[in-house]
Amino acid sequence: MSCGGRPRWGFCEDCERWQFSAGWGDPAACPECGAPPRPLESWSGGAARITLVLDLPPGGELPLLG
Amino acid sequence: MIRNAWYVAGFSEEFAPGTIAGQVIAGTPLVLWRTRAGEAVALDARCAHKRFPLWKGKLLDGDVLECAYHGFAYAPSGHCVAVPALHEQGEKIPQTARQRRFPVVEQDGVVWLWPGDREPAGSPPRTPEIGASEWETISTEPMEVAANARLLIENLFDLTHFYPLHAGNIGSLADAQVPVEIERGEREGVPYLKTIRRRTNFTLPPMTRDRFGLQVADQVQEHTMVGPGLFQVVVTVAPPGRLGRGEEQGFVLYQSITPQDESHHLWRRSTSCRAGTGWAGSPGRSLVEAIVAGAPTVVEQDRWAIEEQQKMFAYPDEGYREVHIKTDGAVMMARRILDDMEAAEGSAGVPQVRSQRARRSADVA
Repeated sequence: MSCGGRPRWGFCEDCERWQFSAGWGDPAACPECGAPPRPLESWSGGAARITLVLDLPPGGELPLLG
Repeated sequence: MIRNAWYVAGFSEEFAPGTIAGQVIAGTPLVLWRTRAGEAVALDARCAHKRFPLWKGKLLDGDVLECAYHGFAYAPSGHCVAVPALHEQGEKIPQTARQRRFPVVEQDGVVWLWPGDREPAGSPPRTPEIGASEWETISTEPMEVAANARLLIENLFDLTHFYPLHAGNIGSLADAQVPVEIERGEREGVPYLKTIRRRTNFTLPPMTRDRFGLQVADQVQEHTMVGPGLFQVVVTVAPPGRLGRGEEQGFVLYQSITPQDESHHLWRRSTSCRAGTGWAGSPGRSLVEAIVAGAPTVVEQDRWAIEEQQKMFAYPDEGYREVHIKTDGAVMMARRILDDMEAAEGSAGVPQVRSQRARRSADVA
């Protein structure tokens, strides 16, 4: 999705860090190491959005009592 | 420290007519009072004569504030209207004897103050639930936290600390691993950052279970930073599959973060539920009572955590590098927004914060 040259946040698993850059390119690649970002922000309706999805391990939904 | 922003000076009820309030906001000592006409006013608290704190003074007629040291008296405009020593000698009051007056806006039951040196950028954020008759609201006393205000903002965006910090009350491993949508943009020129967490068939933690009377529920939890001074939490819960069908319960929580200096801030909380919503775990009591009753434990845990973090900033950064994981996305974005606001006003900050910023800049391309 076009971002109009605006910088976007992306997470590079190879660099192990969040990066804020306008240089992700198309297809998107980390400006530092070239690895694909997972995930990368997209712009729509005047706002930038990103979704982080993490797998929940079995039983992870159960409350942990301290 | 960001000075050009709206910060909460207090809830309206904190400013009773005839009383003087003194506080420090973003490094500026302020004296606040409410005039006979009901207007809340704020002046620089350092008397122009000998820097004596005006919050030690008294109100002469409800509107004029007299310094307790030499009796310089100031109108709500900040102009000096009386100097006892000069009055006796028949001399003029110096034109330079006046206090800086700060912009104050009172709306939705909240008194907002702009401590910066620029014209206010728009109006303060709205908090319509506070004071509205269709909502039942409980606001807490301000809590002093010995930590940089940013540490609280980061804490409020970081639900991954629910386990282990809040384990046993609102915490579970699920809170740390639920998918999160992050949205950022601007509203009326003020940057905002929002996280949204949606859960279905979610086994509620013990405290939440007691509040809503549900073992399993669908839940939407939204956290929004509106500028550096206000954080809104909206939690909506319903039986599985029943969100959006008029069976929702929930609350709106406003948390104001008012920096005093680089290592202290005031934290205020105001919780609202729809009027007439009962507490499932205690018939005859309201839901808002349930939520507020459970808050002190969680709040103290958060305060403990960020004050302990703050202590570690006393040590030099040499040999230390902060690690960021994927779930730190919202925290990283909040830092960037606040860094940009701070840079825009050219504030150098104290060495400790400069040190933090330098380390963070190394983490951002």
